[in-house]
Amino acid sequence: MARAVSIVVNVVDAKGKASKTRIFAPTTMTVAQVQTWGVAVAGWIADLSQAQVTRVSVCLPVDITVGNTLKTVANALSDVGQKALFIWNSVLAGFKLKFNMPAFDESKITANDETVYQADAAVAAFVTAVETGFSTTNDGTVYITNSRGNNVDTLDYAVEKFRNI
Amino acid sequence: MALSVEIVYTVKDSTPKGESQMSIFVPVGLTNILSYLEVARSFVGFADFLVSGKFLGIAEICFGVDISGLANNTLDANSDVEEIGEFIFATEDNNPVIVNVPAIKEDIVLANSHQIDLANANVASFVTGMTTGVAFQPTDIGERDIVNLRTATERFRNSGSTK
Repeated sequence: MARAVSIVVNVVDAKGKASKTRIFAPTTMTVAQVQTWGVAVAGWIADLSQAQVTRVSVCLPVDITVGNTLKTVANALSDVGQKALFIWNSVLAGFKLKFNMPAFDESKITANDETVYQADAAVAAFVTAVETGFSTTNDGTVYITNSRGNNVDTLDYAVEKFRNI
Repeated sequence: MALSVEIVYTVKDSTPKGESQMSIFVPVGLTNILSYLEVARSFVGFADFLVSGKFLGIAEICFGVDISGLANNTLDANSDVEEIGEFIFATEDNNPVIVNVPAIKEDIVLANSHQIDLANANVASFVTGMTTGVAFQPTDIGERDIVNLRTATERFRNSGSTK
């Protein structure tokens, strides 16, 4: 049994509070069919809801264990509330990419400091991979981008952050 | 400016409910869907060494849908996402599939009841689309076809603390 494709409809109400709903579709569909389906679903939600549809996404499941040997068990002291915040410069000056990496490995934080230890081999490999892009079969080197589509260029800084409990 | 494609990963820690998501973005203009898969897999191959939790084996690649032509997409001053239309559909093997519509319109809920008015044209259109499909059949998460509606009722989510 395969995991279905999701159509996620995001809405916001008059208080500014966001919510979303998710509807599934078979993986046998074409991308064009999924897009058509996404518009149809958004139309239904708009007709039934007093809130405003702000965004619709079609999400395809991808098995990321292919080609990777990922950890199968979380470390005993792992905590998703302990994160590393990575801020990256993009090719468009001033427009950055920010993401948090949850359950960041404490051993990769500089001692007596909050900065991510960039001399660590795994951290350095990760930073280099993001800065130099990822090789693809049909599209050459692909860089991750900020939400505006600007390619990531260099790491600005990376620090440890804690989520409120 | 086209919005980027989002790749969403889920990380779990050692506690039963400890789960969080992280996202990266990639360009919309790649020519081949395989490229998105390759980037998603390559990135996590490096990131896995940096986390003490574990990445779930399934990530999601999310493409934005153009909704600029959407009709009736207006914000009502009384809208409240905590007032939900709960539609419980069933698959061909009778598994329930719950679709919650946030901020359900009050005028499609029957008077003095929590039942949603299935005779309402918009409700009927939604239910028909979900049970008969638009070129294909909607499914549950395991790709089992949805074939009928069991119930449709109004529900209320607890209001959260403002602190």
